[in-house]
Amino acid sequence: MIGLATIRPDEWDVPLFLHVLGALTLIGALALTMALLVPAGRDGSAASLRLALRSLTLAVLPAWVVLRVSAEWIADKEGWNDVDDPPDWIGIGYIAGDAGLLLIVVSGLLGWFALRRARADGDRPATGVRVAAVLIGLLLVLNLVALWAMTTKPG
Amino acid sequence: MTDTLLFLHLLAAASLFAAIVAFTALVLGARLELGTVRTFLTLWHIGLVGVFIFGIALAFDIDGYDVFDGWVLIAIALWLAAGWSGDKVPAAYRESGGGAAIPADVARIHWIHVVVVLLLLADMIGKPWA
Repeated sequence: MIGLATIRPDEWDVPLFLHVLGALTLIGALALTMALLVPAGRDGSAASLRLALRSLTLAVLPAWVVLRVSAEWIADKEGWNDVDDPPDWIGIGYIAGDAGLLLIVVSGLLGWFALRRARADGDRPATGVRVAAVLIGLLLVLNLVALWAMTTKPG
Repeated sequence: MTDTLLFLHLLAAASLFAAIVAFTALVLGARLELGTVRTFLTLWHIGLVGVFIFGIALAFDIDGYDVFDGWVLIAIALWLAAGWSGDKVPAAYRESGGGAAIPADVARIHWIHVVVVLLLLADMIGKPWA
């Protein structure tokens, strides 16, 4: 695999750069979002929840788009889109990517409803925020597994 | 062995990026708890040391790579620049007790840090003079 990397065509460089940049930024943004959601769920801090939602929409979501679009681009360049039975590491990448969007949207909605309720009734955000923190934590783990799969290429 | 080293190299890079995202949030005006900032500063240190150690190990491990290749020397220079510029934001934030905005000169150094890290990543992918 590394031997292949040394003879990789130059035209793969841009999509690969964007793919790695998207993946690393996504993991970083997920870590920050979780670090904000945990105190929001524990202490009911609306300020932390507001920041977590900003992190989700301004960092996690754009990073996911860059990751997913560049994944398709590099898969096309490498010819994986024409393979009937792709290797396991490609499948793991698609699972992490596609399930990722669902988890991002659900977490965002949970956080947004909790913030709206906190604004309207003065309630401290709680259960929904804790669920969102768990979902974001799950997505972080999924992306770390995908990082392992992309580098070790099982199957 | 090579695959494991590559995974650890990228895991360290992810740790570095997590810290950069958090420090960028501080520069853009977010207010984080000091304990959270301390955690991300620890991630930054782990990431900075990890990318260097596993990167050098990879250069030794892979046939055809050498620690004196142009792209490796560029990476070391960029890594040193990243090490100098990366922890200024959390230091300024902690000094102000977490209440004040990040000073403009520190924010400028942070954006230089971001550019340096992006150049480091581009160097890793493009491998000029490999």
